[in-house]
Amino acid sequence: MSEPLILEARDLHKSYRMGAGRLPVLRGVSLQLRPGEVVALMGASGSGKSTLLHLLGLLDRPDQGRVLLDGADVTELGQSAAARLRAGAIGFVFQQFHLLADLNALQNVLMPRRIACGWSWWRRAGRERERARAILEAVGLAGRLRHRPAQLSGGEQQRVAIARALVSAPALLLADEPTGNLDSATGADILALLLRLARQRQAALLLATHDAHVAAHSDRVLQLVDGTIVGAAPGP
Amino acid sequence: MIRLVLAWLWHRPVQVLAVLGVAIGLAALLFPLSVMNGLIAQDRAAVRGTLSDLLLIPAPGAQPARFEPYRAALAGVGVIEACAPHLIVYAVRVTDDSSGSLASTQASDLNGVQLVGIDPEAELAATDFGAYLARARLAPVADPLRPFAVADDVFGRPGALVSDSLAAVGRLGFRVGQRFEVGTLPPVLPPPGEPLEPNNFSFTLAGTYAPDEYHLGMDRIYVQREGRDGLHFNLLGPEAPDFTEILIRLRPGVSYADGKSAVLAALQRAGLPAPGGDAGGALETWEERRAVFLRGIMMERRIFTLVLFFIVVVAAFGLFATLSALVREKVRELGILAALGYTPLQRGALLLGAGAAGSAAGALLGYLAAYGLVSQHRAFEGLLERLGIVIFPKDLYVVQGLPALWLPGQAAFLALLAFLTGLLFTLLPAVRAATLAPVEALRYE
Repeated sequence: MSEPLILEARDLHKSYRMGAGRLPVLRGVSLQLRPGEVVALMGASGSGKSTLLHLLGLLDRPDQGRVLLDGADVTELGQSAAARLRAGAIGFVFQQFHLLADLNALQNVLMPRRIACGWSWWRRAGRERERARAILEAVGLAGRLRHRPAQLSGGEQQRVAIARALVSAPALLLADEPTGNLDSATGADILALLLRLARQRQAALLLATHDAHVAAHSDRVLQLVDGTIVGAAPGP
Repeated sequence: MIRLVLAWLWHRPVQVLAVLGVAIGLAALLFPLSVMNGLIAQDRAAVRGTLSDLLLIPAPGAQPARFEPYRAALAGVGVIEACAPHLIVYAVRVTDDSSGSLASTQASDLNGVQLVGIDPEAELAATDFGAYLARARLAPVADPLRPFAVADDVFGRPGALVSDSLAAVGRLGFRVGQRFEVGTLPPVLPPPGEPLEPNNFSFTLAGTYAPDEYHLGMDRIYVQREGRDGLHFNLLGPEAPDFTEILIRLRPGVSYADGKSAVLAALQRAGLPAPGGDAGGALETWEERRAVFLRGIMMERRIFTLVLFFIVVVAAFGLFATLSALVREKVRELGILAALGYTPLQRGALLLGAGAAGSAAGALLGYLAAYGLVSQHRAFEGLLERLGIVIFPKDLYVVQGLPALWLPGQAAFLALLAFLTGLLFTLLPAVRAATLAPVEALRYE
């Protein structure tokens, strides 16, 4: 019996209003992810990688098609329900890190836990802090807990972002060009860290990139061209 | 969420200006309002004058009203501390040039007076008449219990008390021991067609008193009510009532409503006619007697509050402007929060929280600043005087100095209103934050 799917996209279409007409970005994308699997989504700039990640992360809705998370159809979820699902089940890593500038590294990592815990946060704050410290240690930032993003290098900021994405132990990790804003050496470190932690935690990782070197480290590679997946290949 | 709100506020100094705006707006409302409260308290005291808590005007009966049965009826009522009868007669002062003065609209209000017959001891117990006597400037009486005594009047005319202001009017030039004449209508009017004979009588000035009413009615001349020197005996005669109203002072803590009920019950027990209704007469509180003035004062305060509250509204608009700027500034962070799992409601609440924190801080600061100013208003006034600013010049105003009166309930209510106004102005930015599309927000530059 095949392993259950953590994520399935069926025939996703998405277009944006452009003047009087509409600009199609995705034209019938289908894909599947299994727990612990690392899949690289390759394509040139403007090919629709980020749009696809937004649809799969429930930040946006497709014009057509379905998104199934852990077997449940989540396409039509309202904004609030989608947000609650994201808080527990989906982690994001962005190219531009997207840390909250007014909070320090520890507070940034704690933010998804505060959101997920709701009112029970006040009971669990101590445990959650320990958890966040541990994951910041795991990404090599044990000595930078109280530093704000502006006091961290690009690589350190992305490490914080990775820690934040993993702190809730999500089943699905969506990374949009996670090394795109880093120099090649730092990028390689970050990529290695992301892959290691995702595999350790059995999180399915969908990694949007246009860098073939990044794709080389994944289990599978999907090629997105003009809004359509034109080829799928197993990783090296 | 609280940590993030505080971080947003802490790292944006411009937010502090908005908070200060609310604080200054509220203080600018509360301090003048407290001064107005002080003025109103003074005005209320002035408007009340020597009126007691309750005023009983007897219902007219077949026989002229007599005070004694009323005194006996009210004597045993527990809630009553004291009561005093008044016998009031309208009169005209007769002076050498009275005909000319009466024809003059400017002088006629000086000539028309109320002759008020009182029982000094009862009056002192039931009203603040003693304070009027004590404050007299021109001719204070030596013994408040015998205020109408005139030592050197060889003709033995009854003594009378006039107000300082009446005694000081132009050429009238009252002085103690001087005789003056008043004319009244006869107690029983002649049949139609018969001539109306004036009913004149002379008094000797025994002293003056200092009223604090601001000319709410005619000048009053106090005389003895009863006895050989009394108004009843000398000007009205036995067919006239010996009192026209009774002033009743209630014991401390007794409400006016309870006092009224007790008086009505006492009158009923004594078989005296109940005042009010078709029967005539009245039982009213001093506030009901002066309702027109008090309503005017309160209306003035309401308008004043309303006008000044616009300062708070303008200040709250500052909060709206800075929070709107905050939303614009934080669009991407709101998108990040959405990606992390913040629901639209939580994003709106985040902004509302920022607004609430700003409004609450502003309202609290404004409340404390106003309280500080009110409690130190004498020092504040002294500071202004040293700078050459006199708020109420002595030659123009009866009021001397800032009579600030802090009413904690009123101040707290207005602080709450300021807080809610600030909160209201954060609604729009909060709605904007809630309705941001997460993807658009993440892409926002």
